[in-house]
Amino acid sequence: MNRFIRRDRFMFERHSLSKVEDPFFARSTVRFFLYNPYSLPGLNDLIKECSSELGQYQQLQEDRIIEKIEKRQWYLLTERPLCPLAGRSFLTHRAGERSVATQADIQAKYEDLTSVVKFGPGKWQKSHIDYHGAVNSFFLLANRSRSMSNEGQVIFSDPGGLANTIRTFTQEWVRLEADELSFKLDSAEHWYGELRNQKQTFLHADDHWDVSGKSWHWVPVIPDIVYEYRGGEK
Amino acid sequence: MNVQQKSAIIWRIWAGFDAVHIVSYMGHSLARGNVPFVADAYSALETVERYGEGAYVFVALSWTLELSILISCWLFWTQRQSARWLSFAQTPLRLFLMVPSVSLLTTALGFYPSYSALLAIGLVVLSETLKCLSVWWFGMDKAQRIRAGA
Repeated sequence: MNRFIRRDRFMFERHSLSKVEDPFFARSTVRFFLYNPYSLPGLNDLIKECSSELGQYQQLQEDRIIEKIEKRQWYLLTERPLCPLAGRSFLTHRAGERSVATQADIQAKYEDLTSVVKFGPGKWQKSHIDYHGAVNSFFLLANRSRSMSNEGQVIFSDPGGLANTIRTFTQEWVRLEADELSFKLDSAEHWYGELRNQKQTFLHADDHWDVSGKSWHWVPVIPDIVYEYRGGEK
Repeated sequence: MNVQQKSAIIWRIWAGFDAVHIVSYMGHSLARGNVPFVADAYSALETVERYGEGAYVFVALSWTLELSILISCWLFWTQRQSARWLSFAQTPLRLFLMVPSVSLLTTALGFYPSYSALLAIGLVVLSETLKCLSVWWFGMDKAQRIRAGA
């Protein structure tokens, strides 16, 4: 069911940006329903808001309504939007429009949305690491029982004493920094604050940087910051 | 031989085992061309860097035990009563880090490279039980021993 909703009443947890129509298409819907506003829930409230600001001058009201939609003060929620706000479409320019959006326009749109939106492009950033003390103690005991006779070293000064221990590496989806905005068009989208966990094991494994070709490190290797692109990670 | 003399001997035996642990470590470390403790301190820092902050706890436990063995060696040798409490405090660390109080065990296991892990764990548990019981019993004064039924 189609309806208009004011931006401050839009709840990102409940409503999806994929159900929000692009203002370009929303304004034609407004014009269609303007003389029968009760057929479109929320439109009457939008008209009333404009009436209280402008009086009863109908042409001015229409301009004002369109302006509010274009400024994204009101959203049109619809089951099948032609061009939903979520996704690449709200950042790139519409194919049918003749004028070309400048980088500044796109930047402004991006900043406007990301200031309130809790879902969008970003990056996976290291949040915290959980070293499983109880489980790892078992591995340490096993390692140590095999290397007891290896004298001449303080225990754990050699990484081998920590072999096979595990940890959970947690990353959080955060917004891109100002100098990373070039990634935003190709970035995957998630809820900001979303966490993902990956289990790692400490092993003497192959690498591409050590002289011997092997070194002690956490496998799989996970960088502190990961840029996830649409359709795959980088 | 009275109880005090036996206690003195027991104390000296445990001091001896601690001394063997220290000397053995230093000897092996020097044989590898390292400066004892200093080289391991650098290695431990490198391990922490590779492993992450989770290694701090394990490395700290290990160094605490090494330091406490140096102290307990001296306390046992000088027949201090505090050696008893320090040895009790060491027990969980020794069991977790598999450092037997009967320090000759580690050398002995070196002669059997294919020893089983369960055997090693069993020997460490046995070693710690023996130490705790002996230190507890011979650490008591006469009145305590009478109350305990001796």
